[in-house]
Amino acid sequence: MNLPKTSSTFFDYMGFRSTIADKFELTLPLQTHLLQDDGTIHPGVFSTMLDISMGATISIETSSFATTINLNLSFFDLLPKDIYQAETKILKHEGKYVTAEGTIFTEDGVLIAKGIGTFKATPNKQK
Amino acid sequence: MVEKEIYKIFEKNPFFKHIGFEIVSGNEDEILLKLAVKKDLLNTNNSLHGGVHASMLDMVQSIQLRTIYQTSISTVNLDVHYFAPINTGDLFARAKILQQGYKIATIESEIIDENNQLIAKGTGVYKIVRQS
Repeated sequence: MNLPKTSSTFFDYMGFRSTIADKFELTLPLQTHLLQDDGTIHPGVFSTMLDISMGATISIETSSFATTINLNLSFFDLLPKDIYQAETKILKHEGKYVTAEGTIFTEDGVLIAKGIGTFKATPNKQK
Repeated sequence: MVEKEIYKIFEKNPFFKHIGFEIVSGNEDEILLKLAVKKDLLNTNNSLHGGVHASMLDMVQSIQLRTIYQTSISTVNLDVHYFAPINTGDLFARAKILQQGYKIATIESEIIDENNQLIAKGTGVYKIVRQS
């Protein structure tokens, strides 16, 4: 199976790490540039992580490029933790449109953020 | 809160500096946030990463609320609609309060490009962190 490229310049710029075995797995270690002036993690970091996790999972499972149409995100804990993990479940795939839910949690399983996203899946061109 | 005080707060914000945001102007009525799109912010499709739009909308909403309430705030929910891809030029974001409560505030914001094209729109719910 040809896997789509899942990392981008922004992916690297933020310090994300990913592996693709049975499924796409995304992690983010704590870094200074993720913090705000009050010492909490900026919610944009978790928004980015959920967008990457959902987008990459959809891209891999549907062999397409996923374009984000809508993201709805809830944040439960913005205090810094050592490492974050994200996982995605596809809820609905109909035609070009895919809806997925993503979850971010710590190594101990503490829920940090959750999101639902709607994406347009454009099939990869066959070579 | 005057413009200089807003600048001072966000000069100490590592994430603000890492992404490259700039406050063009700011007061209690309106904050204007600017972002020059750079290569570091692009995705594999060579367009602005969706996480950047979300970060910019949350940032302008947060700054607007902190300017009004003059206390810490915390994002509870963020809803982002993406309308157009972009990979170059400057982006501008503004926010507008929808509901200004004692412990919770709801605010909306939008991102436009240099040609006034709507790029993204967001709504956020924030907890106002009070001492008592």
